[in-house]
Amino acid sequence: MTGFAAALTCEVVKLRRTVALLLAVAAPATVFVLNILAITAGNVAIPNWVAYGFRYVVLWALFMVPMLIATQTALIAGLEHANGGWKHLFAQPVTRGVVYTAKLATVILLLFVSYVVMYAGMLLLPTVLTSLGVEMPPGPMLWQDYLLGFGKMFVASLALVAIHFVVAWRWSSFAVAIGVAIAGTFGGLFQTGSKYGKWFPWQWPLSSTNGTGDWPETAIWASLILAVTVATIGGIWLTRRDVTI
Amino acid sequence: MPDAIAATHRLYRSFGRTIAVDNLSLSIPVRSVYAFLGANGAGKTTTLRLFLGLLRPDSGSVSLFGQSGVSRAARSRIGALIEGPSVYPHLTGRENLRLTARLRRSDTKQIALLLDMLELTAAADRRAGGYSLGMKQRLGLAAALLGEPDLVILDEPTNGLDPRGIEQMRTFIRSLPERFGTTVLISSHLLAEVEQIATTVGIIHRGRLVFEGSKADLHAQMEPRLVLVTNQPTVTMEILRSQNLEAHLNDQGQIQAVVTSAVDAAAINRRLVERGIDVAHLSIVRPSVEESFLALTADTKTERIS
Repeated sequence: MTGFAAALTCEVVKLRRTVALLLAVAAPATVFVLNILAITAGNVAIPNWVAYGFRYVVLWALFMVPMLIATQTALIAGLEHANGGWKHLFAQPVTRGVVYTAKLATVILLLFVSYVVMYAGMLLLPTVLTSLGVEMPPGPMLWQDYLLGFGKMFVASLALVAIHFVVAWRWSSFAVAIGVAIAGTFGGLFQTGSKYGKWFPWQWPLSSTNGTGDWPETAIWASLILAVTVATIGGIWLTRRDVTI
Repeated sequence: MPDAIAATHRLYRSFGRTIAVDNLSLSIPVRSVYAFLGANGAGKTTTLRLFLGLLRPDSGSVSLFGQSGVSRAARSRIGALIEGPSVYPHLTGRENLRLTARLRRSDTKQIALLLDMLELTAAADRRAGGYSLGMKQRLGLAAALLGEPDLVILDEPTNGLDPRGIEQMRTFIRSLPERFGTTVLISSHLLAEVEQIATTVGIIHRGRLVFEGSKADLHAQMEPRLVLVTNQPTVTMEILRSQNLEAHLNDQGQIQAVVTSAVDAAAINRRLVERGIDVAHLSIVRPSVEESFLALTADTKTERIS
């Protein structure tokens, strides 16, 4: 087993019985339930499958993804912050870069699981709503479009993963992680009307599928470039720091 | 293999204006139990972290297994327990060890053996978060021993343990060189805690190495004292000073004088008696190893020793 494979396996094993693992399923499941409640209690009409798709993902993309990523990264880094894990990890015969990459890959993996659950919920929801007496749009569901949309959203979320990962690694306080997520999310919302709003990475998951003009594609590329840049600079910075805890 | 399994050469590390390790050169013999002693804040943990590459020196160097620097290959031959055990509380003891075994690429069959040796088998499948401090320390020690490392670094491993736990830990550590051929570098702020198991002693004070050698060397380094109790202490001290002995009277009425060369105790006794002084007690005392350690790490003695 290579150093990276060993480190990644360790990170995955560490997720056992953690809130981080539970959240990967619970967060999209919450969106699923909230959608049922909102549509049935609000007696909301769903005119077509495009509208259904937007309705299903807006809460997810705008609020749940940033908060989920902030929480997941804080919980995963917190396993080391809270238990003196850094000194133990870095005293082992694996490079710090390998540990950094393995942890980052674990967060991306968890987010991917959440997106898969989210997509499965999106396909399942019409059946549940129909059984509850809600009238669904005619014609076949746009499952291929939804799949593509989730793929775009996932890539557009990677910048947030990199930003929050670096923050969570550097600062042990959970409040810092959540504070950055809140500031980013609501900062983006307040800037929605301005020309700067769309440059907030916390807006990119939604704008990757619902932006206008070339913006969805730009958001995806911007996310990829920012993710690689932040992860690389953060990795160089963090893995060279003294280990004092 | 070199005679010294690990060494530092003029190692220096500061944190802002605080100098933690100052020009430190120490040498850890192969298969020794090296007791690294010093008061809290003396620079012990910083030195151990420098040995593991967790900190980088400002200047000077660390060498391990005859090679300069802390390489990945060197770390594969070192097991460490630094400032308390690093335990994932949501995982069982066995799972914790499996994680370390995977990173160290060591045989997982060792896990059962180590659990057994450290009396953790019964609790191995319980979550480590529910372990007592002593059990966590033993789990940390088991993790440090995975892969049969050539060098084990233990930073105050008996901290927080009850007397029975301390004795168990001590007995186990003492057995390591013979059982596994391991060299042990153990830090402590209490000499008494490691005195029985150490073969070599290094004493650090304010970041500087003030002593390195065997316990016998440490004992021999301290000058003996003449201890007297008489009915006329003032006159007694005058007589001693006339013999070029620096004498002090302590709170218990004892006169103590540092003996720097061969002293004829009988001659001193005779002289006092001739002057009509009643001598109730006269002896030459060599300080214990513990007293030597305390003297070496006492601030008032720093300048003289270093």
